[in-house]
Order: sequence, then structure tokens, then C-alpha cells
Amino acid sequence: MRAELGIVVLALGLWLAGAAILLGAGVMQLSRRSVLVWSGASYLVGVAAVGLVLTLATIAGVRGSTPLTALAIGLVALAGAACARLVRVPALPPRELPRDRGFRIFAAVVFGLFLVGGTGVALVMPIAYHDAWAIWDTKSLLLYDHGTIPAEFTRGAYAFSHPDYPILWPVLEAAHYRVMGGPEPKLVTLPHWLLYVGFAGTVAAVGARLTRPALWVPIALGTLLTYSIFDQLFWHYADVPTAALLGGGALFGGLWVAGHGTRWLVPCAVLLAAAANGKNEGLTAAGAVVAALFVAALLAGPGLRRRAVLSAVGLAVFVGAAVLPWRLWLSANDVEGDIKASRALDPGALSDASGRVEPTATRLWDTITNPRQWGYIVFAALVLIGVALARRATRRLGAYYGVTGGLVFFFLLLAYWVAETDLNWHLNTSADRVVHLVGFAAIAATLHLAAALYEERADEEVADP
Amino acid sequence: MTFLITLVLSLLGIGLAAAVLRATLADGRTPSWNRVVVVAAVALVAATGLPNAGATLGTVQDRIDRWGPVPPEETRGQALGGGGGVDPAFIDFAKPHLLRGDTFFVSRNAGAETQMWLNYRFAPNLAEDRLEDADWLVYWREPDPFKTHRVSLDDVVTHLKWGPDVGLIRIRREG
Repeated sequence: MRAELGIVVLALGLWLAGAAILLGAGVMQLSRRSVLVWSGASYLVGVAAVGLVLTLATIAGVRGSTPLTALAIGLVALAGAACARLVRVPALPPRELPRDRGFRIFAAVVFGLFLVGGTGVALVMPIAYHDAWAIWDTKSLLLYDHGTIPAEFTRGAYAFSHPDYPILWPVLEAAHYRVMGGPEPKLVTLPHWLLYVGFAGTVAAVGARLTRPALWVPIALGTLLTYSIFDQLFWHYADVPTAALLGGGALFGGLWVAGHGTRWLVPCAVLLAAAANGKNEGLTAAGAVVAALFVAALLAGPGLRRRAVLSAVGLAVFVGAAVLPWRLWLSANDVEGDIKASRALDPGALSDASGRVEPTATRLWDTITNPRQWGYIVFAALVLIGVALARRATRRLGAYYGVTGGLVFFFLLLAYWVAETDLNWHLNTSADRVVHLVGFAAIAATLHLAAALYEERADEEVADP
Repeated sequence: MTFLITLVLSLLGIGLAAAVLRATLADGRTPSWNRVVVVAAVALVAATGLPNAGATLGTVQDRIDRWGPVPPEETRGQALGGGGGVDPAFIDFAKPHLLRGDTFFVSRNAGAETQMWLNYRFAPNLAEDRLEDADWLVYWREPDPFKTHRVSLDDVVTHLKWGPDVGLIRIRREG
């Protein structure tokens, strides 16, 4: 009972922290309806923000504890509440959209069924899959007990557990273990499930904001219930949760690009910074979204370009500052990974390994377009990007999602290209996992571009503060 | 090349669906191309996504059936494809003897999987790279660990023999 209660209390704390950020940014208002609509996003952003604070504290050598977790939640919530009081961002303008009651009822029934089913799995599923115990839970258990990163962990005995991998998820898991009173084997996958529910809630809230239920409900149902996501979500690897943070960040970034206001850059920055601390691939994918935001900023009209570029610079600085401590820690402790970034800048190395490009591209493409795993999300996203690029009003938005998806895919390809591993082994053990970053970016693109093109209004909206 | 063909055909398929929608559903006022492309793309995602969700439901049920009956205390010993050949009973035998803060060294005879599994199951006790730094030697498939690791009998605090060539030795450390 203590474990269940601990998880519920921590989940409420994370939700509160995220809600305060959304309130401070002006995304959410203090009304029952607004709080309910943005509750999924609140949890997603709260996990990201509190996870970031705890991760930075761990890297700085602060010993992890439940009071520290409570302090992190309190600080984030206070910062959000202070912003809400001091900055006073105007409320989001109301939208008049068809109610499409039947679609909403259908969505509620189907999501309700999956909520029950997913929670049923999360309450019985232990850590059973290879990397979950060999990499992630080994780190979580060490952080849970030692409070900090033990020096021994950087040495050869743990080489197979990849000490270079970012530690946001083990830090959060260790925090869960503390409030649960210890590692409870049958509840460990519950936080990842809650995070995914938070992402689904984010998609629904943004979808409802952008377009009618007759459009966003089929997109949400057709993408969020994808087999590959549900299969791997309960493996307890870092891929799906990191991709959920990235997908949420890309979606909020898209709202800024579409002229809905700089308020959306706040949750975007928090989610991208957390994704960059969740996995090495999360770092490159977050970099891809930041690059796409710059491209969109440069495509802004002459009167808005300077401000847009400055906003993108601010976001990039935030994400960079959140990433730097872990990179410095790795350097200070002489920890090296399998993939050396310097090889990506070495034309000789790239040329020597050019034979790895075609098989990697083919495998990644085949995986993300496998209809039994992913449906046709990527094809839908690509066609919508194409149509958005062809229309002047949606060109920036199309370019943003096009650059995001293209770069996320390219950086994955690049990682396999420069890695000094056996390619077949590398692809066989990871291609089906890392493509989640592309898949979640495609979910964000499909939802947003479909709404913008259908409503025939994307950049027309006047930017609010 | 195959992926290019697949890509082009899929995009054409959405375009074709959009054309059908535009031609057949126009009711007085022809809808714009971007709207029908959106509707076609969304229809594609929904029509292919929901059967996919059926498979998802299947995997949800499989997981509940597989793991629901397993008692919590037994779950950590049942990693799929894991365990590195380590008998769960060995962990139950050895772990109570590792005191808080004790470190261990796993002999290199144990393969990578075995070493990873022992690192995991003995966590939060830490694995060391060198025997000289560790409190415990976990010997694995070594009939004579004392000779192999040059451990003097005078330095042995505890010897926990699990099998003829598997066990743990606690070694006295100065200080």
C-alpha cells in the first residue's frame, strides 16, 4: 500500500509542478475546465521539469532523497506560480469549433478502454527485458541507494551498462523508489505509462484547441494506439518516454511557429531539454527540433524575424544549458560512449564508413513504415508536409515539421554511420526502438498540419505575447 | 530503392483517396484540395491505425496473462532472455551475505551477460574492476579460485561455496 500511495503522491506532485509551469506560461488558466483540459500536458511537463532539476542536482553531487524531490517540485511550482502572478500573460482566446459530440464520445470510450488495459499491464509488468535491467534499472538501483553517481559506475565493470547514457530516467526512477519505500518490482513500469497517458492528453488538448473533434479524434486514435509504442512502452526502456517528451516539445514548438504566441515555447523548451537528458538519441532529436525552430524563425516575415530568431536563441540557450552539465561530467570522469561525435565531423571517417549508410537508411525506413508496427503515420505526415509547403499560409509550419522529421531521421542515420560497431548487430538491437523519435515527431506533425490545413489558418493568427 | 517506390505509391494513394473524396462528396460547393488531402490522410491514419490498435489490445492482454500470476518477489529473477545462466537460487544464496557497502569482483570467466546480471542482482552493492579493490570475489566456473586469483588462505574471511566451481570468497582487506 505504501508503494501505491507513494506513486500517487509523487504523480500529483509532478502534475502540480507542470500545471504551475503551464499556468505561468499562460497556456493554462485557473478554471476547472482549463485545468482538466491541460492535465495530461501538466503531468508531461512536470515530469520533464522536475526530472531536469533532480538530474542537474545529481550531476552536481547533491545526494538524492525524498525531501530533495519535494524541494524540486516546490521550486518548480513556485517559479510557475510567481510567473503567473508577475507576468500575467493574457488568457488564450476562445475558439468556436463544431462540437462533433459523437466523435468525442467515441474517443472517450476507446481511450477509456485503453486506459484500463494499459493500467492493468502497468500494475503487473516487472522489469523483464534486457536493457531495462542491464542498463536502466541497474543505474536506478545504484542512484536510489547511493543518492549520487558512484565513482565505481564509471569503470569497466559497468561498461556494458553504458555509463555515458544520460541519467534523467534513472534519476526519476530512483525518486519513485524512494517514495515507494523501495524498488517494488510490479509497479516500476507505472510511471512510464502515466507519462504516455500525459502525452496522449497533450495531443488531445492541442488537437481540441486547433480543430474539430471529427479531425483530431481519428488522428489521436490512429496514432496513439500504435502497436510499436504499446509493445515497447512496457519494456521499461528509455526510448518511448524520451520520444514522448520530444513529441510534446515538437508539438508545442509548432504552435509557436504557427503564430500562437511565445507562451508555447516555455513547455517546448522544458520538454526538449528533458528529452536531451533522457537518451543520446534524445539529444540529437532535440537538436533537430531546435534547428527546425531556427529555420521557421528565419522564414518569418521581415517585421517578425528578429524577434522570432531571438526567441529561438533563448530556447536554444536553455536547452544547451540543460545538456551541458552531463557532457562536462562525462568529460571530467573520462567516460566515453560507443559513438564518438568527432567522427561525424571527420570526412575521412564518414567516407570510410559510407557502406553503412544504405543498409541503415533502408532498415530505419522499413521499420518506421512497417504498417503492423506503425500504421501509415509517416506517410500521412509526409503528404501533409508536402501540401503545407505548397501553401503560402502554412509554408513555415510545413518547413518546421519537415526539417524536424528529416533531421531526426538523419541524426539517427548518422549515429549508425559513425559508430564503430557491427552494423547488423547494432541495427538488430536498436533500430525498432530509436525510430520512436521519428514516430512521435510524425504524430505531432500529422495532428498539427492536418488541423492547420483543414482550418485553412495557420500563420494568419496574430502572435500573442 | 524499394522504400522510394513505397513512399511514392503511398503518397499517390493518399492523393487518389483525396481525389475520390473531392469528386464524390462535393455537395454543391467543391471542397479545396488541401481539405480533401487532409481528410484522406486522416482517414488513412484512422483506418490503418485502428486494426493496429487491435494488435495492441492483444499484447496488453498477453502481458497481463503472463505477468499477473507471478508473485512480486519472483519477478526480478525472471528476466526474459536474461539471467546470463545464473541460477536464481544462487542470488538468493549470495545476496544476504553482501553487507551494505560491500563491493565485489566477478571473475572474468563469467561472460558479459552473466557479469551484467550479477551487477544488476547484487545492486546496490557495487562491482569493482580489480579484485584488489573488492571485498568479495565472485568466482565463476573456476575449480580452484584460490590459485587462479592468487588468494592466500590467510586472507579468507568467508568462503561460500555454491557449486564445485561457483561461489564467493570474502577477502580480508587492510583498514
